[in-house]
Amino acid sequence: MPESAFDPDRVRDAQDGDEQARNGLLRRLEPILRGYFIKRIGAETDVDDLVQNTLVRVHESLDDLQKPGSLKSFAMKAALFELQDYYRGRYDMNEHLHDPDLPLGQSTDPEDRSAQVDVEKALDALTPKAQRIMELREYGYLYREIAQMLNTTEAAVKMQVKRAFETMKDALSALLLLVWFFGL
Amino acid sequence: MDDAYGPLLFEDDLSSEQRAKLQERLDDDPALADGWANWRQVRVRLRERLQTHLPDRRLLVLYALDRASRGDLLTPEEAEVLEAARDDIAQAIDAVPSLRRVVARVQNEQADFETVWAQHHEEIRAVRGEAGRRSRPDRGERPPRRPEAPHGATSGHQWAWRLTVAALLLGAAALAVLYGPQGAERTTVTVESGEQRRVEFEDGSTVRLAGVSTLSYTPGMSTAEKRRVTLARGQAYFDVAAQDDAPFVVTTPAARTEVLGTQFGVAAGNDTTEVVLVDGRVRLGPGGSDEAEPVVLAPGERSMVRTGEAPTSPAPVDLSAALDWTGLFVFRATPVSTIAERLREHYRVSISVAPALAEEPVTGTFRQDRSVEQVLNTIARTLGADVRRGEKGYRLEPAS
Repeated sequence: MPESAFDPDRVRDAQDGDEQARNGLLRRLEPILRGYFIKRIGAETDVDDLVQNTLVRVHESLDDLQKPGSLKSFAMKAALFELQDYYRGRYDMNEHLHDPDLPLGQSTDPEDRSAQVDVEKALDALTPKAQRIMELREYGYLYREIAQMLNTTEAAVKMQVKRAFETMKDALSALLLLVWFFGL
Repeated sequence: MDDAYGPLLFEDDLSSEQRAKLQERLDDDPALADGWANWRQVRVRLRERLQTHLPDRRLLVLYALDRASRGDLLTPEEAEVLEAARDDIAQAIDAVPSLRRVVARVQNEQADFETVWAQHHEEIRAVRGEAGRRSRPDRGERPPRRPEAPHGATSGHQWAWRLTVAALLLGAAALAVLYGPQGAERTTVTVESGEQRRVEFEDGSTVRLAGVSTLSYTPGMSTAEKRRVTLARGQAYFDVAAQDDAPFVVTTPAARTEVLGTQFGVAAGNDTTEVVLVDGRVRLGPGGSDEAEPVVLAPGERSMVRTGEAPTSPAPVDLSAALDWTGLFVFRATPVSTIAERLREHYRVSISVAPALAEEPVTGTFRQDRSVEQVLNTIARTLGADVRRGEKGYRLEPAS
């Protein structure tokens, strides 16, 4: 899209309340954002939400754009911020398997210090690579994305996760037994 | 390692059926359930750690841009905020080393944006070159379609406007683009029973076909002569890009519909054609008769034409119900309470609305195959509201 398509004067018009200018600007941004998000996450249905949310983000904060000629960087940051929100919320709706009864009376309450200590110790039992994978997973990335970030294969990442689970299971079991018998 | 752990760890890959089986196994196997609960607890802790060290991920984006020597992309205010947070970010990276990988990924994302932007630039320039730099009105610009706020409430008006923006764009953002077979003269797209298909024309207009439908058109759509499509049968929901000098004409066996920039649904049978208008204005007339007078529909109205007869007088219609076949929720200045009722019926979940939001008008178009959370989150974001999920269902409340 040529910069002239985002004529700074029209951007200023949009900021000044010209709704046709604002509509035109948003509609021109749409295919760029769509192409961008498809490139980043693939042609998934989530692309629709990302595009829409980014446009809403641009729409809501357009008045804050001080240099109308900087629309590209303005839209780019909106898209990057939207991706961050997307990663953060990616697994929120996917926690389908619920087992509300945590073992041995532990809770996930941040104030439950004993449980936190146990988990930290269990994490220490993992290799640095396994820790990185788990951190990135909880950041919101898919295993295939993590594989890209770590320059490895998805299969290798998943193998690391299985090993981490096994290690963690043993470590937590041992720690929980200590808690059980000695009240540590 | 127990084979059960594989599906458990990678549950995102499971079908709903596999997931149900796994849930049954968790219910029957306390040891497995304990292991799973421990694992989830560790993950919760990791998320908490991330949240504690990096409460605002936007800072990491600014940091990544700055580290890539693209500080020029930051506004003075952003640069100032980043400077103030620099120590905290460094500490966060020390505590969570994988954030370095995230920074690198953000830098890749930034580079990709530049690439896509440049590619789009090239494509547009190429198209303009082919067209001999033929000037035409801005196809993307449409008259504003602000819904009317019932109480003259300014805030409600603004809220509705935000979703209007979303609605303007959703028509072009609904599905992956599916083009029909490219013939030399006319392109024909056929959709079988139970299927839906979205076609995007080169002028930016789109159509969503449903049921047993056949649509044909001339590729290009670059001139008034070519902005003519034929719906031989079936149901079609059009989102037409405005061009002042080129009306968009839909011909069916029984009627002819001429539009300037609008969204509307057409249901075409052999002898009848029904048109439901969402936005804009359309002129609807009988297909083969010059004697019968056409009618002009206003948003929210429906009219029907029988072959050789005049169209029925336009009458108000419940858009969401009349256009249910599109696979879309179509809301125009619809109170939130009404939307909640519609979503309750469709998703069969409890959805309540705080009294302060109940009468707020919302304008938007949503795909029905999205989850209820996705639809509610978009509405909430537009309203500046929150979605609370409780044991009994969902509740929309003013943002805390």
